[in-house]
Amino acid sequence: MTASVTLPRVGCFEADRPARALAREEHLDSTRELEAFLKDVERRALRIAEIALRNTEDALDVVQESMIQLARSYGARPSSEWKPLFYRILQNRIRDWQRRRRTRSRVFAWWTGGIAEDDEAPDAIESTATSDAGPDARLEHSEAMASLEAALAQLPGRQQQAFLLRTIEGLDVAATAAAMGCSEGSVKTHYFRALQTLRARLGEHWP
Amino acid sequence: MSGDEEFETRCREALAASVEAVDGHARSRLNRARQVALGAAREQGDTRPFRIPGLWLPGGVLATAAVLALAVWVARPVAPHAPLAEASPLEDAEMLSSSDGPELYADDADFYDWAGSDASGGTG
Repeated sequence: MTASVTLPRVGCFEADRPARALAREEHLDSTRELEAFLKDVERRALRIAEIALRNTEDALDVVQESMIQLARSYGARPSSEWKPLFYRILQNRIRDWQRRRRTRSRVFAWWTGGIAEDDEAPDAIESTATSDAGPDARLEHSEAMASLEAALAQLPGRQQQAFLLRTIEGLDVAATAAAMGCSEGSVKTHYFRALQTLRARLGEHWP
Repeated sequence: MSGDEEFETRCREALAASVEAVDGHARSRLNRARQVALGAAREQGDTRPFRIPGLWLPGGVLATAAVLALAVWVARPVAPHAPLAEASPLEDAEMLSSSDGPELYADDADFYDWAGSDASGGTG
């Protein structure tokens, strides 16, 4: 009697087990896929953030926050959607960081009674040259890289974003538009203007 | 290759080289950041069935229905088991306000039964 009651229960449990194992396996696959994705994009994302923020430590923080947000909010989404989502998050984080930095510098200037710092970014060439962990310092062709970074830093934000997403990450126009939250036409315009400005600033014989 | 394309290619190459040149410290930080993010994804995965918005809706509907059913059941009018006319509130008030304690009625319950039956029967 007891056996007849117990057996069906064991049977049900056994029937559930493959489903649970399958779900666990799927989750592991998804985590592995996410890891591979993050590993693939992380250094390019770091360079984009570094050029935009001109500070390696800040850029590392921004990339970490973006990774965590992608994993938490969009980890369950199809992996094909991750790239534009990740770069959208990254761009938003960079913008937030720049805004906070501006606010901090204004408050600091007011508190110290000094002249408020200019809202515009500090001199790009100077800041690139003094960047403590900039890759240009580790590269033999640091001069060329420094001047490119300086020119990129002086671009308006949207032009800079479009240019970096397309050249560093290699996103196509549609994916860049998704990452920037604008139309494909805007991406083309921003990219074209960025290219023209950089060419004019760096000269024909760069690097 | 046009001038723009050539310039674009040079920019790509320079930037790609700078990506490859990311130093050990930054790589190590990125590795740690990735592990933290994956940990967050695992946590999220453990609780995912309860976080999918689509699953909140049926649960919420069921909970609301259960609360409403309980409220209706509690507030439903109770069907009287006996005619209310027999329990006149005036009689109760008279009994409670009299100087005789309620125990008097309890002690002489047989007498009151007899007196009641005699009065209704009309025999003496």
